[in-house]
Amino acid sequence: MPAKPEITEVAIVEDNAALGSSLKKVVESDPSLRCIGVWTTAEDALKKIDAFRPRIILMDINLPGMSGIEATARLKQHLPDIKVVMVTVYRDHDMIFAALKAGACGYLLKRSNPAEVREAIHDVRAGGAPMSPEIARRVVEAFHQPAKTEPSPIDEVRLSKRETEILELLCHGLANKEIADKLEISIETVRVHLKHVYEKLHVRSRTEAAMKFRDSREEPRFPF
Amino acid sequence: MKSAASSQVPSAGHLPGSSATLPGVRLAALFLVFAATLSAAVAAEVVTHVWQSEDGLPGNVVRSLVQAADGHLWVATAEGVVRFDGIEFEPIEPDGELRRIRFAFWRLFAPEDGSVWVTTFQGGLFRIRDGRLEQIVPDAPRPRRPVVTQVVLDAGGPPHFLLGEEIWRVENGHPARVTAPDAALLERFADDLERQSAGGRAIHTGADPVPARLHARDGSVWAQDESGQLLIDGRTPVDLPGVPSPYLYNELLEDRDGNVWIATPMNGLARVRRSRVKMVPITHGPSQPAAFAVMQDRAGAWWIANRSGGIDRLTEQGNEHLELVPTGYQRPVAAIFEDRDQRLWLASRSGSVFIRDETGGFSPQFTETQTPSKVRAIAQGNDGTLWFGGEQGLASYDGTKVRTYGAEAGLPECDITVLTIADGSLIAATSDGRVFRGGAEGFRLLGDPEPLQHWWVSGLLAKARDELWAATVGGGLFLWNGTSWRQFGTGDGLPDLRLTCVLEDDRDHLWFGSLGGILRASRKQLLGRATNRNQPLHWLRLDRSDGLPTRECIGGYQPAGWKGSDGQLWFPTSGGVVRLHPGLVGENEQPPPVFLRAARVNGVERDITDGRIEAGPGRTRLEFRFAGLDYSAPEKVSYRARLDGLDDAWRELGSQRLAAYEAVPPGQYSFQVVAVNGDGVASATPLRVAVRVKAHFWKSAWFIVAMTVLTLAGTAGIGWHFARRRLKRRVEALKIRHARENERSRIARDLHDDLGARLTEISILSALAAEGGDENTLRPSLDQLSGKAKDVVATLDEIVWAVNPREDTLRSLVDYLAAFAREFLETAGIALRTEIPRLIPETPLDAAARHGVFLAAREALNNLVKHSKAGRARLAVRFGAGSLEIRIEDNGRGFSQEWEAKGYGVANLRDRMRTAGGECIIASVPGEGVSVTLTLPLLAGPTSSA
Repeated sequence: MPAKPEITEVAIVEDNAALGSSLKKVVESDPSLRCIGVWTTAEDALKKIDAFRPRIILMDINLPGMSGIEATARLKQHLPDIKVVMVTVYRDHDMIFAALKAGACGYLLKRSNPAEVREAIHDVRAGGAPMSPEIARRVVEAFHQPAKTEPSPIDEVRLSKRETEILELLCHGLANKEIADKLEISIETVRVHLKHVYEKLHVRSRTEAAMKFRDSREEPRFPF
Repeated sequence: MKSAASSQVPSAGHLPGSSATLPGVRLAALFLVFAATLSAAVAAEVVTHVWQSEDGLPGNVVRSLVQAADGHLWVATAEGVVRFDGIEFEPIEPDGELRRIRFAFWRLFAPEDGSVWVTTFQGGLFRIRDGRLEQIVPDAPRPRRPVVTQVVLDAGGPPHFLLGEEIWRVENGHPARVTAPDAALLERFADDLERQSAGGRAIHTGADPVPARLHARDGSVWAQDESGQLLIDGRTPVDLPGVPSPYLYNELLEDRDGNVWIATPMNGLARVRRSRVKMVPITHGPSQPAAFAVMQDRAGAWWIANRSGGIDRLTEQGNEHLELVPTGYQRPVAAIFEDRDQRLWLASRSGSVFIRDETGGFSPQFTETQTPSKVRAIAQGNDGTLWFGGEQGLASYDGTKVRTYGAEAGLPECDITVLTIADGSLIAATSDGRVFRGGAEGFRLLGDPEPLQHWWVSGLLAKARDELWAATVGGGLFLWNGTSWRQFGTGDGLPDLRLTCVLEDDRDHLWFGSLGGILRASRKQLLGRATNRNQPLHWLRLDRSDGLPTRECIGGYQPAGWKGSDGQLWFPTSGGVVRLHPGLVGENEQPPPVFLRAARVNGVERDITDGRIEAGPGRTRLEFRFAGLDYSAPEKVSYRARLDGLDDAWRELGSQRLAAYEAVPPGQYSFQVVAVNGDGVASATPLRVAVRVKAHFWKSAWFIVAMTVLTLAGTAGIGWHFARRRLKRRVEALKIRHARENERSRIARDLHDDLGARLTEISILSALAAEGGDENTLRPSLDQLSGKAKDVVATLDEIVWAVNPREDTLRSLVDYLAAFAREFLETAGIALRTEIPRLIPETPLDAAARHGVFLAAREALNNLVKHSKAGRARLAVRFGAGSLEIRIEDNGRGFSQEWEAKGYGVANLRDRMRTAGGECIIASVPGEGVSVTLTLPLLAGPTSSA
């Protein structure tokens, strides 16, 4: 392990077998990545992922049976350390945003160059969180809900001032580098902020779900 | 109960001893079945499924279960009460002030009138109505009061309940004490108590609670033994996956389909179902469970080809694992055959043919010539000749001489996969969909092989000269009727086209192994369907919900399925061998009721309690969510729906619990949906929702009538006549329009799924090829190819977007345009700033306008890249008074002259916008850039009632 460059294990969930193997080739064209499996259904993948524990998963959004979004949500619940990158043929921003809420940390168009695919994987491996203006707009919208009368835990998950600033600039189409220049911070800092935005988004969507059961949460366990 | 468990112990000690007394048998490994297998065999009789908090259950502490009169299952957990439809849990919350109080729910009650009640440990009682909890009796402060243990309906009167020892009545939502209950009422309480106790509830009498036990409708009794283990009839243990036994349970419940539900205090909710398929227990070394082929010999022993090599022999005494060769590479067995002299022939995969000798060992055959070898199928003719088919084609062996059959005998280049004997002649099928009939004198192709195309034939079943069934992997089922082949595919309801074998049982049913489970259809229905496409054809599919370890049966080896001497059918699967008793495979005949869950009009949720919806004015997007109840296999429920008045044909929705209709014109409709359970039984009555889409006032009926009356006064009825005719024509046109939308959906889906995936593949592969080998002379061409492929994928993306009716919204247009502009300008090296409002109205936008505006904007961007020499561009979207405004600006050189403006495609842009129903303004200041403004009037958006 020490001398060799570290190999990152990647798995692919893609129902079209031919596309799956093409993606596998792209992944394996990078010496620092290894594809440990191409699985065609989310159900199958969830089982295998538990056994193989890849670091990064390229997940198709449209899968037969359980969707890639649901699979991501379940995966993140049990194995939160595994990073999921959604892969989609077409830019369906609603679906992509749903996937990001479920815990994915990036997305890729299938028609991307091999170089772009590899870059996205490296980006995610390094902890980055790429975000497009269309997604940034939805993120802002998600956090900009009308204030409730009673305080709720969800309100505690708010964007910081800096994060909001960065998102607003992203909405206007600025690249990370430009944002960094404009705010006089480093590009790394921009990335870290975006990562936090993702994390907050996940927490928020989870909290939303959990809140429904808030009232009975502290119920003492009665004798069985 | 205890005696059953302990009686297994001596046999466990006895059997291994007897294994040592089997001398002289060359066995690589020998494992006998003992107690563990016996209990595994019994355990496999039930299929269990557990739901826990990660599946949506509020918490894993499940206190109580009840099935309401409408069929819904209700679950009380420590974290709250939920309604469960087999897939989703819907939490029920108390109203108003009560939301702040924590309730400790205890038991659920569901009297015959369809109401559902829940009680708390503090003596509280709630009624559940319209998804809300209504408090009837509040929780009592400490010290604790007795609890409500029964809720009973009086004959036609109000509900009564038992609080401690007292009987109370619910009147107008308030409790009233009944001091002198009459005999009839007392009898009702006594009956209810008995029903609860037999139905799986612990009844507290005195200090010691009696543990819950269940008397099921099939006569079985579910109860725990001394150790606390839950057993059926004192014999069959009910183990839950991932839960150590014995486990505690609070209640048992049998639903209407006969499933038994277990409420556990720590491990969530469990469903127990009798399995329709049983696993064949095989215990041996470290090998994998996957089996390739299975056969029973005439002595009754079963032979199972194992994926990891060798063969298992299974008898009533147990199973032994045998290897073909004593040392070296163990190939798996690809074909098993017993000839009429009861000699067992085995073919190893891509290897030699073996015969089992008298000592029980295996000796290789045809070692000198290695012909036949690489055999896939073996058969024996009526004259005793053995036939071997495989990768090397066909060969016969009459006991002395081997003869091969090639092109000269009518079998050119054959990779034979199945052999069968029918009417004294041999039928051979190949891996590329050819079927031959013949014998030593030669072979002839059976009919035109065109329908079978290139499918791998995995099974043959010959019933008569004019009835031969051929199963294929990928092409479904084929029937040879003596003159031609008839295919049974998806259009005939075949659940999976990848068949691995075909068998028949004693009830005139055909059974198929497939990669999507075990399938069954009546032979009579199949034959009827072959002559008349409108004849009914019912398929039964067994999968994991029925006890299969996996859905995938294994094919390509022979026999890939076998009917045992007792009539049971055996199938090899990737998870082991399974068997089923055709006569005992019960069908779920309960029609699944179907319920409306939500309705949305232009994306806004509507109240659905009265079963009718008003929408409009103007064209509207309707969306319905519904759920069908089938607790045996909820994931197998499928739906079909129609919007009567708009489309008369039923749309198959698959397992999707959502039906959406785009741009529904004003009118009266009835939305109808039917649920179909996994065994093909449909809801008794469809769910109906009356929908009225109002017209804009100037299009509404009263307005037209009013106008008509006025016109009548003036021009004596002619106007009325015309108005009517126009209205009729418009309704016609809208009907066609809707059919077109369905068609558009289909085209979009097809393009996306098929062409899109393949093109993407080409684009990836060519890009990869272009990367590799830098001095390659092909490189420039590969680069070009990769670029072109990418362009084509992008173009296709645009077509799919343009065609898909789901994208008929303003939001989609704005999103798509912004993303397109960024990508497009990025490749041109122009920085783009966007200004897009955060909230985009949910306005439907028809395809023509949407695409027209997009094309115009694209043209503007194109001109910008080509002519402007700009470094920066700006895309601004605004929503003004009933209109959309898109502005594209650059900081380039601009233009001043008329002829220069032409370069900017002014005329073209105007044309495009005009066809879309909008306008285009182009302004320029030389040296400062160009600004293109596209405006489109919008339909009145839905009045969002927030």
